[in-house]
Amino acid sequence: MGTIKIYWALAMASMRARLQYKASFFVLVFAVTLFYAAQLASLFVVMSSFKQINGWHTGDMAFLFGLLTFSLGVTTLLFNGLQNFDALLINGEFDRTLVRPLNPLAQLMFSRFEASTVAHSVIGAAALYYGAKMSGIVWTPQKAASLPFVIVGGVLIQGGIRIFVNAVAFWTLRNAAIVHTVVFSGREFVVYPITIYNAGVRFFLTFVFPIAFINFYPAQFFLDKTGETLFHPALRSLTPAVGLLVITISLYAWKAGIDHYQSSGS
Amino acid sequence: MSPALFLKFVEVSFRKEIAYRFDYFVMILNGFIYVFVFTSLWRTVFAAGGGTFGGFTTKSIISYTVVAMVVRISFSMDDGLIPGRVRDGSVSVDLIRPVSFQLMNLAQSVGYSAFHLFARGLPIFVASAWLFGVRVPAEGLPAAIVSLVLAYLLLFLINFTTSLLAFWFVEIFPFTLLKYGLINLLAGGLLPMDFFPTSVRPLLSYLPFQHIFYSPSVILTGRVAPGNAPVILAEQAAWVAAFAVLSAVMWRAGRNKLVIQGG
Amino acid sequence: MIEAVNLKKEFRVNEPGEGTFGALKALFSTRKRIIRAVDGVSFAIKRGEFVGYVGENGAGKSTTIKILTGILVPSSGSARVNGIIPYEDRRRNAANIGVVFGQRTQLWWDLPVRESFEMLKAIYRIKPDDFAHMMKKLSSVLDLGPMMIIPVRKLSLGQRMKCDLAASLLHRPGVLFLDEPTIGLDVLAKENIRTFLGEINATEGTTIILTTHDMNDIERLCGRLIMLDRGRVIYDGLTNELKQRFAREKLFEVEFRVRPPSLADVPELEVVEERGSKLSLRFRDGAGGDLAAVIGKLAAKYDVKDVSVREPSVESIVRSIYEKTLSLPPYRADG
Repeated sequence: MGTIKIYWALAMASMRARLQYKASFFVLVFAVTLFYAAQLASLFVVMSSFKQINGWHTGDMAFLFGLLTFSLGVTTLLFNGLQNFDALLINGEFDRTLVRPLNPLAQLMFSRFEASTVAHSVIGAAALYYGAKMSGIVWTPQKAASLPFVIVGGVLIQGGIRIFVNAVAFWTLRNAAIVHTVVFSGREFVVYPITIYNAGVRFFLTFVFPIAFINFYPAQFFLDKTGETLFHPALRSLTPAVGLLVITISLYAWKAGIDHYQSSGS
Repeated sequence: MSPALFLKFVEVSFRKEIAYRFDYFVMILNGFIYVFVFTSLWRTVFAAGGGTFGGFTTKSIISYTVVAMVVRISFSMDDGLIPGRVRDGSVSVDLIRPVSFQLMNLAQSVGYSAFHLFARGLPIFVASAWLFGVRVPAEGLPAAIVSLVLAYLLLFLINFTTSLLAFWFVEIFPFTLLKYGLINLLAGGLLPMDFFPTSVRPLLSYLPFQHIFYSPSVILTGRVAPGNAPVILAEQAAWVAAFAVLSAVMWRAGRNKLVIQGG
Repeated sequence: MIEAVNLKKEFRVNEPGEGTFGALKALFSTRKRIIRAVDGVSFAIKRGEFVGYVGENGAGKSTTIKILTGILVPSSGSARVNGIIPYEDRRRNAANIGVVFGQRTQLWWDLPVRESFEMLKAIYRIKPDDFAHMMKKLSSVLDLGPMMIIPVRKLSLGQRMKCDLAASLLHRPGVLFLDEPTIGLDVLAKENIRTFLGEINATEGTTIILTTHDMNDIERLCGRLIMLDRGRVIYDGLTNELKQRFAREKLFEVEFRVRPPSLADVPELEVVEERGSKLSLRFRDGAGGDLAAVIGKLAAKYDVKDVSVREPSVESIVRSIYEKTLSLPPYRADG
């Protein structure tokens, strides 16, 4: 209990620190929101021309985008402190967390509150809401109850991936490009339904780099997409389980990374 | 600035980029992801729509996508450079150097981009051409090269102008982000202008963005009749001139601000 | 309190290629070189000692400190701080130590100083009474009062160092590690920090290990001095003893009216440096005789215009040792 209070205090301190510059914070929220709005707009441009992608209409696409972007917002809230982790490692700031009687990863996680959290959540929630409306999703109790679990699962998947790729920095020191590729460019794959890719890539996005569980599989469930089963219909409800698996693996990788750093770092 | 000095700046900035060893292979992958996602997307929707749309065939949209993406990757520029130097005051060192600030930055930018052209653009082009098939007709090449140079200058000047805002704003990241939002959507690096609804297309032609990736890419892939290329080149040149003037005015004002405030 | 036994630490470093071609080649292959940053360091420090830990850049100071604070695991050897093995029980060790890295603050950059202290109170689970007591004590000695409501980023370097020191002591650690705490400070701020550290060491009984390049810090504060060179301890003993050992390193600056061709009549002295008719002299190794007698002899035998004698400072002794113009007898860790 006491420990949770400490981390809460850390999180609040980082938020207060960020809000010291109120004007710049809100300008940034505005800018990031527009940036993602532009991405959503390019999706609408494609849909205006082609009407549907493998049976996914504009509303379905917005819902897909919404799941991805809203869970990205929550991920940013919890894991943004890992951004530029390689720089913290190189300039020695990371050592600071090691001389405190707390978990280093938890200290990092709650060390930086960012404007993009708000922007992702706003755009994501709006896309979810209008996507669900346009697609005419029938909200059964089962679907309504599943939504939070799907979001949490998506956050665990994205958070786990961030921890994993940042753990790489313990060996390579520089990992900005790999973080950019895996965390930000990787996400481009699942802006569209993964049925547009060949079998190998579908397999990759399901079983190796399982980001299709953030939005594609659960969206199939919410949108009652029958007739395009990939691999197995059970995958549609596995997002929370996959989330737990990814975060577990990534924590092992992180632990191995710290051990490596302590025995070979400088 | 002498051409030799210009090249020296190019070389130094090229070598600075090489230093990021580990990043190199990852960055190729990074660019390739976009090529792959969009070629997969166009294949799917074109197949569903009977193989043609907006004057494109499946083959020609893939050529366009690969070419535009390779241009986009090769036009990588370092946005943090000038704002960083303004913030920490080291821009005053640039002021006392007996070289043109604009040309020095252009040289550094060329070195940076040259690295991305050789290290990422060309490998991705070769791999994509082999995997997906790309057609670049030779007769459009002379016009395309001119268009590429103008497009590069235009993007450089847009970035340079945005960077100069650092003289007036502590935090220019929001501007940079907005710029990228607009470029991603409207410059043709990801989506050709042909896919925009016909109602907004006239509006887009009044903006500079489509001259960054769309114009050189359509000339390179032979979608513009050789006779029509000069019109596009003239429009590009006009935008380059406009941003050159704008950035020169802003640089002068920013520099005076620096001198008056003592940096 | 602190015990290091035959600590060793090795690093691998990449060798960068040279020139554009070499840099391109380095994209595909790297040569690795092994560096032994700490090479068999042993010492034992008792409770309440104030120890100066000195050495040139790369001598292994920071690496040792990182091992003792639990940041790094040694390649071999062992260390204990207050009975805890720091790299095996990092968090328990962290609760018992305070660390100040001179150039990096542990305070929350954008928040007022007071909030940083409140955060540390939570992190180290300091009881409200203890916190109030320590806060009162620290702010009166360091005069923190006026800084408490200022965001850390707006403090001067000296003010920030005061706050960082207070932050590292709030939880009353048994051991305080200081890595270059006076670097970049002006003379007055340095003096304030030194006075404070002396007081804390005396009143709280805090064991303090100080790495520094400023030998005045050592001379003022550290009863004991440990010197490192290329990963090995080359001196471990009282600071005063070091001064006494090299007391005979006093330099005689002698100006002659008539420059003698040689100093054969005063065999106790040897020439260190000569500038025209001015000579710098010192006792020859193993030579006997006392100061007054030698000066008398010098004045009797030669036409001396002026003599001055310079006391060696710790600064000059240490510098001479690293410049190899003075040599220490070989140091044995078990001795």
